[in-house]
This record gives sequence, C-alpha cells and structure tokens, in this order.
Amino acid sequence: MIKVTKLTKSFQNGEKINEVIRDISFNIKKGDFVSFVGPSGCGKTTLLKLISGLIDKEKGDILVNDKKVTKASKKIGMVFQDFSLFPWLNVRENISFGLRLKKTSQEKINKIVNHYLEITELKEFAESYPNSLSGGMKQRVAIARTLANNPQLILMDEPFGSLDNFTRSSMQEFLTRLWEKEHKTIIFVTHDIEEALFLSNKIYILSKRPTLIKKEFDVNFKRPRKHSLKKTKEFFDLRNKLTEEFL
Amino acid sequence: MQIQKQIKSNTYLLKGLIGFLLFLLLWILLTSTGLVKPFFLPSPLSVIDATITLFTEFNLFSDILVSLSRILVGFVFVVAIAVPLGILVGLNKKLSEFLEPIAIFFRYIPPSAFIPLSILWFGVGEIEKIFILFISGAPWMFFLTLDSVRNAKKELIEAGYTLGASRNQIYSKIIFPSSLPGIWDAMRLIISTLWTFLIVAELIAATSGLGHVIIQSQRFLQTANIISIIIIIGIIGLITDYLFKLGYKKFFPWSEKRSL
Repeated sequence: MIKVTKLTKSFQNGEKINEVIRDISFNIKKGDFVSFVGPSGCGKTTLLKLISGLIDKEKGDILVNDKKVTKASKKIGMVFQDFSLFPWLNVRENISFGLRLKKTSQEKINKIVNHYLEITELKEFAESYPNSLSGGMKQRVAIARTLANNPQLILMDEPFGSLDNFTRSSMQEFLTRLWEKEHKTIIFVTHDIEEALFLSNKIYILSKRPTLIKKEFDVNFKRPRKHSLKKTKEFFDLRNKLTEEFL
Repeated sequence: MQIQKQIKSNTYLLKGLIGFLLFLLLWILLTSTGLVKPFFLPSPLSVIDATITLFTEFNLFSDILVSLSRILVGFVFVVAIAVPLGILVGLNKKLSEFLEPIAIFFRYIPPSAFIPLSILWFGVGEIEKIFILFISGAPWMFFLTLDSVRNAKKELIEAGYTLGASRNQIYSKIIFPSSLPGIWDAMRLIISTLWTFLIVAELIAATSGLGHVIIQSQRFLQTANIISIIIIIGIIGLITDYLFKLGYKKFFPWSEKRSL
C-alpha cells in the first residue's frame, strides 16, 4: 500500500519562490496501476522524484508499506523517459546492475536476469551494448532492470515519450501484458490521455502549476486489454470526458 | 549499415590522402618553378635525399628513439599523477577547493617559462626533459579528467540511486566508468601537446633528440634536414593518433559518441 499525504514542494528561484506541487494526497493499493496525467511543464517529473526520494520534499509524507520514504532506494524503482541505461554495460549487465550491488549469488542473478530477458524478448541481445539497440528495446531493458530489483513500487516517468508512434503502442501493449502477469504496483506519468486510459486502473488529472490533483477517474475496461480496445466506443467516450478536463 | 560505414571510412581515407597530395603538389609547384629559393624551401626530392643521409650517416633512428622515449616517460608520469588526482578531485568537493586554484595557476604559466629554471635544477639531461613534459601536460590532463568526471550524466546517477546504489557505488560503478572515454580522449590530446614542448626543450638544451637535430641543422643551414624532421614528427603524430583511435574502439565499443 502506498500512502501519500499532503505532498508539497517549492523551488526557490532567486527572490521568487515557485510552488510546484501543492497538497497532493492519494492512496494506491498493492498491485495497482495508476496514472497521473497532466500538461507538459506541470510538475509530473518532480512529483515522481519526490515519491522516489531523489529530491527532498518540503511538507507531507510518503509511506510505502507503512515505512516512510526518506531517500532513494531499491524499494522504489524508476523508469526514466530517456532510458538512462548504463552505456558501458551490456543488456545482461544492465539488468543485473541492482542485483550485483549487493551480495547476490551468481546463480540467483542468472535466474532472475534470464527470466526478464525472456519476458522482455531481449534474449538474443543479452550481450549487446545499449548503443546498438532501438529506443523500444532500450526501454524494455530499463524496465527489466527495474523489475529485476523487485521493488515495492515502480515509478514510470513518461517512459514512452521519446518513442515513435508505432513503437509506442507496441510498448503499451507490452507493459499491459507485463502488468497483467506480474501485478507490480506502478505509478505511471504521461501527458497522453489515451496511453493512460489504455494502461491504468485509475487516472489522476493534474493541473498546471502549482500542480494539484484536479480530478480522478476509475478506468474499468476489462482485462486482458488489447490494442483494439482503443477503437471501442467506451474508450472513445471516456477519452472525450477526460479531454474536457484539459479544456 | 555495415557497408555504409565501410564506404564512409574508405572515402575518409581517400579524402585524407587527397589533402596530403594537394599539399605535396603545392610544395612541388613552389620549389620547381623557382618561386621560392631552395635555401628557404628545398624540393621534396632533396628532402628525401636529406632524410636518407640522416638515417644512414647520422643515425637519425637513435634520435627518434630518444625523443619518443622522452615523450613516453613524460606521458606516463602525466597520466599516472594527473588522472588519479583528477578523478579524486572530481569526486570530492573539499579536495577540489584546495587543489583547483593551484592547478589553474600552473595551467596559465607557459611551460616553456620553466625551461631555464629546470636546467638550473636538473642540468640538461633526461630529468629536465621529463620535468618539462610533466609540467606541460599534467595541469591540462588534470582539468580534462576532472571535467570528464564531473560530466557524468545526472540521469545515470539518479538511476543508480533508485537501483539501490550507495554513494560509493555511484562513484565506482557509475561516475568512474562513464568518465573513461573522456579521459582517453584527453590523453590523446595531451600527448600531442607534449611534442610541442619536448621539441622546444630539445631546441634549447639537448645533446640528442629530434629537436637537437633541428637546431644543429639550422646552424649548418641544412634546411632540408629541418623539413625532414618536421615531416617525421608529423608521421609519428599520425601513427600515435591512429593508435589512440584504435584503442578507443577497442576499449569503448559501447561509447555513444565518436572519439575526437
């Protein structure tokens, strides 16, 4: 269970104080998939970095399984928009990075890495360096790297934002399949309403600065979800309803 | 993809060769038309002649070896001291407050200004040459290393923290490896500047080495010899550069950017 209460953050810019995040509170059940949707330039990335502990919060509390988050750790994994793979490590070494930081037996590492190579369909590329992979493949490595660490919560910061349309929708299907199989707790951030609708069980709409939760929607499309879902009337109607929130 | 790359590298070589040929053509034109007197610029043929004499009668090979080994020893000292220091200072703010100002101080002093002092201290032998090379290369190597360390991508560091890395692991497993290609490129740059200052040092005071041959040739008005030595230094430079390029490809096949 993830419990965020009254999260607030401002940045000082010379004399001026910019409030970026104001009073954000929400709860997420274990194994749920939740999206935050907001216009570009709203504090989406800041929100995720606060939750992850990468930046210090000003006010409020973040509880993951009843434990306060005070600094970044392997408990909360993060997938970044620009992949952030370690270029000097091959795919296998990237995926096992977190496991190799602590004393994990080679046998166990291999087992976990092979599992995620399989899931992400990257087996043939296990020994390749990131510079020879496409954007979609890079992001699958990044996702595998996060999953291999078995975090209690996974944050995704517009992970498909820099991919072309085709790769983007195939990655959305990939992530849906993955979630339907492994039921990790995921907080997904995007500015793409369709993407959020397709992936999540719940959507929070964020306002522009200072960012606060404007509205929340439950998304109850049945699973497993396939790409064809995007062409249904229900999907269309809900999308229009959400779009209105931005107008 | 592969074929395209190959064609590119072939045309690259060809274009490079054309550059040299044009240069040679200009040289032949200037000398054969009598536009420039042979005393100032001898023809390519007489430079070849001079080169052969230098090798056969004056044992130029040993002077090449002397200069090369000075460069190598100087370079090893520069790298062995400036690179670890640069990495250490790059990772440690407090240390950088102590060491950066003094490194900046030395960086702004022309190394050639140290030559007279160095002769007073060490005489005209090998130690003096190595000292000059060290003082020429070390401050720059230090700053370029520091820069590579500090330029480690913030996103990679953040990814490291969310994967459970401790501060020390961030240093050793992220910042250090990510700075290596930059350090390699810096080494490539530094070795070329070492040549500048070695020749200067050898011109001023030496009993062997390529700079020594140049100054001797000038005394006897043997312009062809001087040009021959200059070309030899250039060729050594090309080979060195090529080796560094090969090394970059071998050590950093993962690099996302091309070497300098």
